[in-house]
Amino acid sequence: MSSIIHQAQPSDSRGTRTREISYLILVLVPPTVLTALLTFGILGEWFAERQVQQRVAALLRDGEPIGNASMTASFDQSTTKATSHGWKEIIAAADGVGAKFGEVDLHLDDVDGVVPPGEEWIAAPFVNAYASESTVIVDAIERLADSDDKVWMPLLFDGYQTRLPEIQDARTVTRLLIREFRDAYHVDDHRRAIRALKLLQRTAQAFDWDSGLIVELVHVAIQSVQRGMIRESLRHDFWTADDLSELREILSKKDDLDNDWRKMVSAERATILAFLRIAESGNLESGSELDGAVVAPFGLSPVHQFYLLDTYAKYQNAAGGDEFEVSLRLERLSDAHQKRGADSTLSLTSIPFANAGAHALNYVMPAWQAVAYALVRRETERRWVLTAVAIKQFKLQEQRWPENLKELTLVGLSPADWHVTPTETFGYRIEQDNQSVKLWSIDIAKQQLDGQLIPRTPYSESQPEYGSLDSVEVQIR
Amino acid sequence: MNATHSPLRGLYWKETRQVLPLVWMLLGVSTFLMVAWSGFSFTSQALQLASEYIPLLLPGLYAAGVGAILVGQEKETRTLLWFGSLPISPFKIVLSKLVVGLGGLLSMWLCCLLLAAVTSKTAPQYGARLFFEGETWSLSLLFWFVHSLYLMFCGFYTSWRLKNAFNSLLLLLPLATIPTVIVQMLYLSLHGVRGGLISISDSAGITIVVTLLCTLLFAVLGWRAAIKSMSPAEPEGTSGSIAEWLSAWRPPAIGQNSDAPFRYSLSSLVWQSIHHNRLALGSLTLLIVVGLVALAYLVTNTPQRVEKDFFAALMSGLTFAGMLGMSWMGVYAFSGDGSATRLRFLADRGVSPTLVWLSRHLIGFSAISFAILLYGLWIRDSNQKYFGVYEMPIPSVAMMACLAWIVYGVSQWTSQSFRILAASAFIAPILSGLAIGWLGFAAFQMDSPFWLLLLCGTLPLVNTWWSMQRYMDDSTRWPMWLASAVGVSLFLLLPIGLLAVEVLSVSTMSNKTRRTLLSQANATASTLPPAQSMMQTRPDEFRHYPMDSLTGEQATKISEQKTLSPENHLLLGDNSDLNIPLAVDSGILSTAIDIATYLRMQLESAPEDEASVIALGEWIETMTSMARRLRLSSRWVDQEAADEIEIWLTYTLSLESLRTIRDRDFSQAAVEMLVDQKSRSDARRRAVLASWIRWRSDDTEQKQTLGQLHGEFLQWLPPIKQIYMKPRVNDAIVAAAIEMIDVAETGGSTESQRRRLHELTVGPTIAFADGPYSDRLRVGADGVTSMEQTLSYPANQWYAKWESDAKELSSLRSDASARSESPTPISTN
Repeated sequence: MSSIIHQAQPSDSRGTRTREISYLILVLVPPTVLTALLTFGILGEWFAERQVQQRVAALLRDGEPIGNASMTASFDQSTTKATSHGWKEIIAAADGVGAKFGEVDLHLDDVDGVVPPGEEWIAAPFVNAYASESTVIVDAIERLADSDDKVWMPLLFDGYQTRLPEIQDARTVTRLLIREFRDAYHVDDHRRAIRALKLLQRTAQAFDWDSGLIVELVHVAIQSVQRGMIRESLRHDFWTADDLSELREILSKKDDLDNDWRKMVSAERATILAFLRIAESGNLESGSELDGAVVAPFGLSPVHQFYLLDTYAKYQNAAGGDEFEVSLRLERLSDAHQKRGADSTLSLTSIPFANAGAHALNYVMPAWQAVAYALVRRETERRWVLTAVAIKQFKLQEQRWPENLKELTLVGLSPADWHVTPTETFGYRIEQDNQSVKLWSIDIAKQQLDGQLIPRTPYSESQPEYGSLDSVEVQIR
Repeated sequence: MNATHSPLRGLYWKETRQVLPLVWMLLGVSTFLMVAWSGFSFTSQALQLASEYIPLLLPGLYAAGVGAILVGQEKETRTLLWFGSLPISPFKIVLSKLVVGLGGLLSMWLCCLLLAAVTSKTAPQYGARLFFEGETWSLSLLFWFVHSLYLMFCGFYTSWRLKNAFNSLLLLLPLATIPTVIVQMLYLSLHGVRGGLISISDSAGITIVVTLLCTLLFAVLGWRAAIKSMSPAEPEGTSGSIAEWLSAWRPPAIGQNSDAPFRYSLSSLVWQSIHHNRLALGSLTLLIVVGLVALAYLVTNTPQRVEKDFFAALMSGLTFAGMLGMSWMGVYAFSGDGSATRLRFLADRGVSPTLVWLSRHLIGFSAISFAILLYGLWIRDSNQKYFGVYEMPIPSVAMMACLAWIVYGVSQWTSQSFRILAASAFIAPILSGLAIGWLGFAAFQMDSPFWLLLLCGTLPLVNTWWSMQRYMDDSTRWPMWLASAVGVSLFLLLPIGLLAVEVLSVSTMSNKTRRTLLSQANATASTLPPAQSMMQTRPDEFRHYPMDSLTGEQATKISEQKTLSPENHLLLGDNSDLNIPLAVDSGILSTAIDIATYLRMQLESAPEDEASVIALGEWIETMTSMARRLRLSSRWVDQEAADEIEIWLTYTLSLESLRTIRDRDFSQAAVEMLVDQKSRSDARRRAVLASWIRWRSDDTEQKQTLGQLHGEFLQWLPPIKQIYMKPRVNDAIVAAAIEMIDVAETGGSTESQRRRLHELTVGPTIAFADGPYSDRLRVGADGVTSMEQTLSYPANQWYAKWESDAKELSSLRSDASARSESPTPISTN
């Protein structure tokens, strides 16, 4: 065959041999290297698959949810059906009473005020009518208040398609209790006012499911509303010594940050695992669509699956210590994530995208830093309002304002309560007329978490144009 | 040539005959593209818009290829030399080629307009709005026309100027962009780089002028090159230098045979592949490398916010050129020294076709692999730098290899099948794009597995390898065409076939059941009540208040006037006429249940309060008539809505705390309805069949869901799979629901039907035990439902525990009505 191509005898000269080899190298080496690289990539995927299996097995051992089935099991175990009907009825009735008042409140000025007794309030007749119609519902909530359990609801866990209508509906109950409190405060009904605050807490607790970020943030929002109302109520000389003790009790319960954080990240991870069909179904055949963009039509490759599990594990492990520590740790984590690069997330053989894991996370991963800020704010606000209540208690007990926050030990407050961080306390000052004091907190939305956190003078003086003064400064009378 | 006719006529006849294959090929490809596009493009608006440009391919590709056919091809076959020896003036030969070329271009434009007109009439959504709509159409048309003219003259120029046809095509690529580049440079020099680029539509006028000038320039250059090429060649070595004179006397060098053969045939063949046309090979390799590096740059940087960004446009252009280079590398395999006539030399001497096939491809594989390796290095390096900043998904190395595999494979197949270089060079990129589009469509829309796509992508290479012997022999072509037809069919049919198998494997109803149910459904259709009325809310009657700022008193007064009676909130048509079916609105139904629940709570707190009894009684009465009317509806979903109301009524009337209201007329009327299991089942059966018949006969584009408001099923599948599976799945859902009614009426367990419904309507990631058809979410004695789920999943609350509770309410009936009711067996499993 080759006689024609080899018209002459092969030359033995070294030059010809070298040239022949160099031609063969030229055409054979690049495809060979590419093939070797792809083989290396496939081996990497195989290795990553083993790692993913190990991780998932470890999660299962630790009782962590890894998909829809385990989310359902965990939800069913951590909730009780005993109060389901009661709460379902309360939610429906709260909507029902809302139908009577329609959207009237949207057109009524100052409907959200905390107005002291005797003071004119344009929305008073409306709020009073609303509260009076809602009495039967508030009574029903109170009947369920004995139990600390979380309530079971007919949830269908389906990855990111999981609907949580009850969580949205719980806001109607919250609004009803807020109206109840405002009416009670205005008509000088201390018992009802305290009861409304307690029931708000109970409502938040009943729906404090370990079902992910949304639920946690709604929980934080309800707590924030409750604490905000207590804070506002201190602007007027309303509460008795007994009331203040009850308020102290309401505010004394610290949230379990570690637990909340871990469970929240865990639920979010289970949701994405279910969505991308990684752990439970073991079925990677179908395209997973994120916001209309197909990231992995043939399923997420093991390298990316592992990257995803690894990233969630890092965020989950950021728990431990107080909110500030978690927040700082998260800040460092996301910084490192950006600076170090994420070469391990690039897959050689993932079809079609080398960075499908990171790209998928861009769509679905919550802004953990922002969530951490919300949790920092929750705990700081609790201590801040607690300190404010204690100052008022001190005034009633000692007939004077405390000279400084350290004096609050006289009313049983511990130093940790008036500290923002181990080294810094809330800002405190007695006003010149001696009729009121000012207590101010950290503005978490605007400040870095290092350096001086609390300004020396109140925000109202240092920054007169301050927008959300109420959330960082309170004047107690 | 006939001597009795003018030799010029023969010349024109010959040139026309030479151009015809290109014309037929382009017409065929354009028509194929239009047909294929109309099949694809319903999935994307961008694809529909792109279809406007398909007719433009005719004059565009003709203009680019005609020079290579009329001149380049004749140079390669050396017929031009023979022409030069004829007693015809070069002027006439060149003119005849030019005239035929121009005539062809005009006919292609006519074909283009005809194709555009036909498609815009027959399928307006895919038609060429580009030509017939909008204010700027005439300018746009002129622009494309002038550009095609320019391209033709460039083609003639490169073909006359260069000896090698492939090189002349390569040179055409940069030349084609010259007018646009000049306009952009002018614009940039006026506005600076930050001003970005100017769009073609904004600069059409000036571009036309510049293109015309360039056309003139290349017409002159081309003419000169042609005349020079057709004139007698100058004798070699006429400079008269001493060195030149001496070289003729120099003895041949001994032992320095640079073309010494190699030890392996493969290396010899590779050597030949490389040295046959180093310029083309080098240019193509450079194009591919630069193209892939440009792509790597594009995908590893934050997407440019400025649309007309200069650098981004340059990189996109280079990426496109790179892809074109990859395709031409495939074409290169079977052109020049790889053409059938040249390979015949090897075939005659018994060289293995496989070896030749491999040697023709190795150099292309090598260049592409090298470029992909560079791409891989670039994205790895950039990823470390930019991670967290970019948002772009980055194609992986394997993905690029797959793309190259398909583009190269399809192009080399085109080159082997369409042996005219000028045709295959332009058809190959189009077919490659189409192949990638088809395989992408199969992956994203039809859920085809990766292995199948890889198999399809390998078919073109297998095809040319299989045909290699015949190709080298240059023997009868029909077996090769047959093999190609089989290859193309497999390429298209494998994904469709797998989809068909998957669709057909979905359980559906048997033919016997279908016949039975269809006859039942048709019989039911005649007994269906008249059109239903929708649930509506009563409009607010308090609009005369200044709603922008109410006083507290006004607000209170509004609330006092707006009592919670049903007529203040609902508009249900003529409520007394229980024969008019009702269609659910989930929001209104929810409000009704909410208000009734509130009033029930009020009554429970004060059971003796007559006003509360009346208030709740009104709602029980209204909800009873709502449920009755919903049961009359021919929409399946209204049955689920009726279930939701009946669940509420059953729970309410079972409450011990409300036993005082059980004797009231409204309660008795409700009980009467609730215990009537047979009517409930009949209504369900009727609604299921009516919905099914309606769905089957609905051929509108916005086809409703089976039950009209139920959730969309099969959402977890890609769109095309959904489209083809839906009829079978809907049939299966209907069969399961009807079977469930039959089974429940004879007291059997409904679990197997519920399991089937779960498989058909719930995604694969939810287990039956956790799903809407499980005991976990079906309503028991506590009446806790999720209305959203009840209305989303067909038949999910049918024959659950609440129905046996409802039946037990028969004990609450007054004696007279109790006697008339005969018990019906019912399953609550």
